[in-house]
Amino acid sequence: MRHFAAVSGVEVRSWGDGAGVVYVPPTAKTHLVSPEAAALLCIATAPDFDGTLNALAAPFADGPQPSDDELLAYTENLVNGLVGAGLMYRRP
Amino acid sequence: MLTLDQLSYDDTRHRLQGRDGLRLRMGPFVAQIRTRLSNVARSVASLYAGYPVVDDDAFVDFQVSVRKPAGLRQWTHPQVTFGFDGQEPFNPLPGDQGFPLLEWGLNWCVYANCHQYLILHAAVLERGGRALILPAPSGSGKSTLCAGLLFAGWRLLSDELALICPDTGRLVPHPRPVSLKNDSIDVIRRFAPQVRFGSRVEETVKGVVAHFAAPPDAILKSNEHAMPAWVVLPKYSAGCPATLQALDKAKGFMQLVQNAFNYEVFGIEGFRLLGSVMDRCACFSFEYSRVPEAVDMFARLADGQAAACGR
Repeated sequence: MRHFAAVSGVEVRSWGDGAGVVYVPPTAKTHLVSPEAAALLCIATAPDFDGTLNALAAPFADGPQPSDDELLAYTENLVNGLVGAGLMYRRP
Repeated sequence: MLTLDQLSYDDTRHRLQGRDGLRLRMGPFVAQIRTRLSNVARSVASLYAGYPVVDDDAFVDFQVSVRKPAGLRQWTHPQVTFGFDGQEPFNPLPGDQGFPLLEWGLNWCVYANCHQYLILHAAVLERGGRALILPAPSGSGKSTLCAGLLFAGWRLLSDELALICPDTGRLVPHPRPVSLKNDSIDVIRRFAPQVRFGSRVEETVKGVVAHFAAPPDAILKSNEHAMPAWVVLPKYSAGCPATLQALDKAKGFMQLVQNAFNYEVFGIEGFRLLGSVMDRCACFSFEYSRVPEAVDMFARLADGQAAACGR
């Protein structure tokens, strides 16, 4: 799961469990993102984010611990959406 | 403090025709206006009557003029042009559109130059110390709703430009004559029979346009900034009952971005500033067709009865 990276300097705001907004410095554009993407980006842009799968478990903190397969599917969906929106890029 | 209504009309016209122009304070800005056109002078005297006249040595933010262009055309198809610091940024308009051109030009001066504020295309009103932001493109019913609310006890900060101070997050008043178009003119005339419109100008690019003066209270309180409390996206829909619906703040945020004139100038600071605005505000979409119904709903919103409004 180290195949993605947040664009450096990305900032995200979200309110409650609703959608979020993301500012991407290289393009100076602001994007509306889904609640799931906002939650992920809040983690991915945190100063202590280490880029590993463990950090992505936080959205599930209030529920039962998901299996690795569930986490994998969850993050793959998010990353695909974010890459498609130009908000993230995959490492070669 | 000298206000324009303390000058005689002849004195006002004399200043407008002079080299130093007529210097008026409009919220945080001072405009120096020059014109020899009598219809524009009459409208300025009437619609800016309560505004402070500033000393000749005061700093001027905008040097503007409205004049007839030279040439033979002025005798066959009279036109007017808007000047700003010696430039004429717009194409000339028909000769009877001098005052609307002055107003549109002054708006342009603010949103094209005053990047000390983050500026939204939005009406702003205040009640109980809390500001209501109504961001919307032209034709959405924003100004009609704004006019209705200011005749129902809300204080006008602006019917067109929301100025957000980046240091405080507060909204800075910039009250100016309120512009209404087409059917809205008669709608507000029926809602507030006491309203006194200036000249009605036909066949502008926006249709029929008429202005009325900002209420005296709005001008007197031009220094009283207000903290944002509500972001409401208005939309006029014929026959629609007044409907206020809670809106996801992220979607409201994007509407602010889309209605901002200079968001890109601020970069990441603009993102953070609008984020802090949304932190403080309840966010709604609002559809309406009748001004009295709309005004009643906003009174309940201000009184904290948003749940009764369909939130």
